[in-house]
Amino acid sequence: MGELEARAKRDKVGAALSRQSGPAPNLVSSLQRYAGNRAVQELLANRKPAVPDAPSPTSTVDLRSRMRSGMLVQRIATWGGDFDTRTYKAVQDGAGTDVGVDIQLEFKPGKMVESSHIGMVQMVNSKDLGVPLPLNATVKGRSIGKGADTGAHIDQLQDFRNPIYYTQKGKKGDSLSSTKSIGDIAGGGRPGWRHKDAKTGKTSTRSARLNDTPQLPGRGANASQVFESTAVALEGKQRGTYYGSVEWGWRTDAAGTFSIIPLAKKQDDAPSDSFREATGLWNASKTSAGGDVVKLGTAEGRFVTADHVKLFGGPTTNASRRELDKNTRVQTTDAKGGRSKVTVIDGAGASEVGWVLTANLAAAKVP
Amino acid sequence: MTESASRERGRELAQLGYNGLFLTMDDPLERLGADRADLRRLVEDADAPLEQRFLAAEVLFRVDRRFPPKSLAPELARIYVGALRDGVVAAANAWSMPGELDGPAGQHLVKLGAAAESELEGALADSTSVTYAGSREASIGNSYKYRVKDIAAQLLRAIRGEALEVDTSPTRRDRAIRELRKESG
Repeated sequence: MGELEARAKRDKVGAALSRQSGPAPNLVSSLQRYAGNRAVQELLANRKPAVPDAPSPTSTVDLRSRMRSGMLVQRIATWGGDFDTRTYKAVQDGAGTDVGVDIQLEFKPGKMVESSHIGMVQMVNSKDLGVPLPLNATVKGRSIGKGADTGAHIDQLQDFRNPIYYTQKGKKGDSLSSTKSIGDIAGGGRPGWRHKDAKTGKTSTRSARLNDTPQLPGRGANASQVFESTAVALEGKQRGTYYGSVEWGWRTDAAGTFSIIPLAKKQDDAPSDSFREATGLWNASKTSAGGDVVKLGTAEGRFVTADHVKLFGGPTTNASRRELDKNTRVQTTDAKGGRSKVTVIDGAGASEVGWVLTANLAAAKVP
Repeated sequence: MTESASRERGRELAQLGYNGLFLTMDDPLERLGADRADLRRLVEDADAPLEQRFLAAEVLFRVDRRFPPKSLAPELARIYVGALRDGVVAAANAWSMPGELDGPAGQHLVKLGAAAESELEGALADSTSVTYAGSREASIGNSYKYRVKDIAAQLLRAIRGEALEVDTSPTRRDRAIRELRKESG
């Protein structure tokens, strides 16, 4: 989508997109089938389309007015910081039926974070009539094929290379951090950071953002779009470290009654097993044009199995940075020659990065 | 191969709809595409509902490399542009994202070539809004505020081998569409 790059330049960051207020009659498929397009147009005259107001990041919205408008405002604390919504509300089709949500999700890095480039990435599973709906053949090929999360996949356009949500189409040779954002607009967002300047010693912080308006026009009963969104360090000493994940989205029940899924913590540090599976499928996939995708690292939460476990400076060095206590929580981001690269999540060495013997790690706490 | 069999196939296609046929994790095409003659009969049946004829053609495009024969192109153009204008597919993704030719129905329509031009030209005045489904696809696609005439113009340009640039402004797109209509005479 070359136009997106041009659009990102044209649009000022944070500029709100104006939306038309005409009808969106193609959403009322049954009426169209039986009464035709024109009848729907007449019926829907003066109704708003299923496109919410675009993000307006520069505006300050009073909490009470947001509550009055039905907008959900929630903040979720994780190991890495706070996930917060600047907007979270239902969107309607031309007939006034709720068909999705509009969200501006923000990750505010906390004191444990040391990264000059934090990206946001998410997994989505869309369903209608209880059946997963991957929407195109490319996405279908990179969706989980069985189990409770059948249909879940990394949320990115079929011809885009980079799994980081807000990025442009990308080009061969891109890295996770090199593909630019389309802008802090609908379908976009921005990278964040919390980084200490080596010269001045000053810490600079900015939140990472993701703006999404998922919807399924013409949706029926037992429909849903459920997301697991996460923030991940793309640069800096914690590169590859995840800062927790949140779940959000919408669903309808068997009667077709719509509800917004409240923003909730999914994982405190590394994302879920399903997210890791979806990441593996993404990494093994190609774009719809046959291009290589930019691979996304995976991470797992682990516990140290004994006291005095050495945190090495590298995969081969024997110099120990510190010793970790039994049941210290770590996040593994790499593995080489019997050692795992870890980011320490809690305890005395929290936020430090090093290597430990993989044999000294377990999936659960030890007695 | 009978008329009743093709009508039954048509009802089956309509029951599944575009989503059930092409957008789920299952693949019903192998079974549905087995009797191509029934599907072909359905496509050519002027009395069958537009949606069924469109869905039958979409199945044939996927299972039969030789489809469509040249002789069928003008009728298929009428079916496809009719499906676009009537919103037979609830989400516009099937016709392609703005500035792209990545939707199967849009690709199939373009494949019809010059035979589809006059039908698409007829849709250049259709201001009916369209909506994209999905997550990021919906966020980006719907930010363009696309209408039937924008998709028609885009597909027309693709048939003519022109660049698929898209403007974010509907007003500027309207201006370009007026030029396109003048060119088309």
